[in-house]
Amino acid sequence: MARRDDDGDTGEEPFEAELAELAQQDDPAIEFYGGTAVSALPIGLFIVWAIVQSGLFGISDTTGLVIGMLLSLIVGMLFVRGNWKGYANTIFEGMTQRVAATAIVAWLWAGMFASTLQAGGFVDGLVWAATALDVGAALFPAATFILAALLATGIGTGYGTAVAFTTLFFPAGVLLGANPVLVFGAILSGAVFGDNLAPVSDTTIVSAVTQDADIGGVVASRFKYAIVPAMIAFVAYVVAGNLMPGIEVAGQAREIFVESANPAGLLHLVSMGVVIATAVRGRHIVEAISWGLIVAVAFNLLFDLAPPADMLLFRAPARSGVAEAVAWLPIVEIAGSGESPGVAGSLYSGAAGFFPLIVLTLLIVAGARIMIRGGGFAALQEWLLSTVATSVTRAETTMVLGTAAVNAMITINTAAEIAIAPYISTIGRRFNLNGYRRANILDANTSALGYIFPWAGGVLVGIAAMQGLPGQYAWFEPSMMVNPVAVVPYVFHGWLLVATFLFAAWTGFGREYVSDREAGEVGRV
Amino acid sequence: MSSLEKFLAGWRFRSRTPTFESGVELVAYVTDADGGTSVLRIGDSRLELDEHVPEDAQVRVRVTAFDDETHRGEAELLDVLGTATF
Repeated sequence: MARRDDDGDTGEEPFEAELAELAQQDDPAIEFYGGTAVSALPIGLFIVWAIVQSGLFGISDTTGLVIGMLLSLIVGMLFVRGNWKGYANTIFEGMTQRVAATAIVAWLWAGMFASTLQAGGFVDGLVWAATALDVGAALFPAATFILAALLATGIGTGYGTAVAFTTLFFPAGVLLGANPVLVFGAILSGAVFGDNLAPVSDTTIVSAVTQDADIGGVVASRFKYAIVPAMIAFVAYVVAGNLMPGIEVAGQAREIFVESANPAGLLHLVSMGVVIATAVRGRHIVEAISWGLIVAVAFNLLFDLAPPADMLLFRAPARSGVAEAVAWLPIVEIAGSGESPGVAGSLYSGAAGFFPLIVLTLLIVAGARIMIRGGGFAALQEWLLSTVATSVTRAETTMVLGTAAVNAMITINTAAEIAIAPYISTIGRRFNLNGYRRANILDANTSALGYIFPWAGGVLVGIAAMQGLPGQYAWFEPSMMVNPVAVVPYVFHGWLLVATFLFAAWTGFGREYVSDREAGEVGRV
Repeated sequence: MSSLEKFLAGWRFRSRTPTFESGVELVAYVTDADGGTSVLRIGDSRLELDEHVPEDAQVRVRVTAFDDETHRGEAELLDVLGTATF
């Protein structure tokens, strides 16, 4: 939102300056051979690339998508009528939009925080909780759901949760006699819950900033949609846990857990609480996560949860005399033979993990800008608004189903969310739906379906982690692996979240208009 | 708005056709600006603006008339706050 300072009346034409400014922004600048529809070529080609790469080949490599978007932008330029300079400038114009910068800043902070929580043994704390609860086979899936949801809400990454829990909780559940498909479904459900609700989740951040709403306010407004399905999902896992038989395996479930269980890791529930509480209180997300990060680093050091070098480490080459002189510092070491010099630690890897996604986001918003400047966006939007989204109920239903469709095609859910976000914004705004409502519709379906479709990134990272289990445990046979298609019906929280939003669209539950409540600004400090 | 109020906001079924009292001031986006008249569509209710403002502009208006039966009304432009950019 470009907001002007209130400079009061300027005489007979009080809004002349504002209106002239608005009129300027609407000028289409690029003409394409083949008409306005061709301006959708960069984004269209990218979607095809994403379907082929992630959907057909099963490669969930974000840098691969970056190359796809770069090539798509080059191909789009070949169809520009006249000078290519306007097209090139539009790429810059798109990339320098505040929406991209806001998401990027939030991701970098969230990445450092999440990684530092993991370095501090947050997962080990949850494993300890599972051991202490001492649940049997029937209750194991329900307990797994709650603990996975806690981890995902703390670290904001459902993918990370799927990997950590499939590595630890899945084999333990199988040994206990819980149904493997149900346990995997519960893990994915927990990942959905956190991806949807956590203020440090990449999808939460994208949903808030693209819909022009503050992240803390989005999390608070989202709670009502998340908590009811989560309670139903919990009961469903208890019931299904009692009905669905497990497989018999000789071995000790506790042994898997005992090695990594450590109650101290649960201290990071405080770090996580600090971020959620400060963000909801309306503090800037950078401020909120910085406080969480300071608490997390302090806990790691004070309670010996992680040594300093696990969070930040300068591994200098032996030829650096300065490094040798300060090698006594806990965050400096001299690279041994065979070791390459570099910087490491959770702060480093957490931020660096987002680099490919950041570049991809910049390129996608550039592609979207080209579609806007070329008139393709307006044409598609006009078609949607005049034939599909003709009432507020139909508009919200279109938003839910449209998000689902794009997530079915682009299986890396954050990338899918960025691609559909401008449409959600435009269709929702056409009925003056509040930024919080739009962000919630966008993110709930993105989070849910990203862990339901058998080819979705969230399911595939879990399956990949599962493939390592036969090598890790002698008793784990390949036949115990879960088929990604078989788990589809058992991602209870995901399905319930989608159902909640269809229900909400049809009944008006939770609906808020722009005039009801103004969403806080994204960048407010 | 307190943190608790933020969690409790929106726990209700909101009408497709919200109604507005005459004299109420509100902020909304201009949703239609074809044919010379600018309209604020809020849900399926419509407020016609007394001045022409392009689509997607965020405006502050005062409701001057509203018919609860047809869900249509009129509003007076008070301020143009900005425009949606994404």
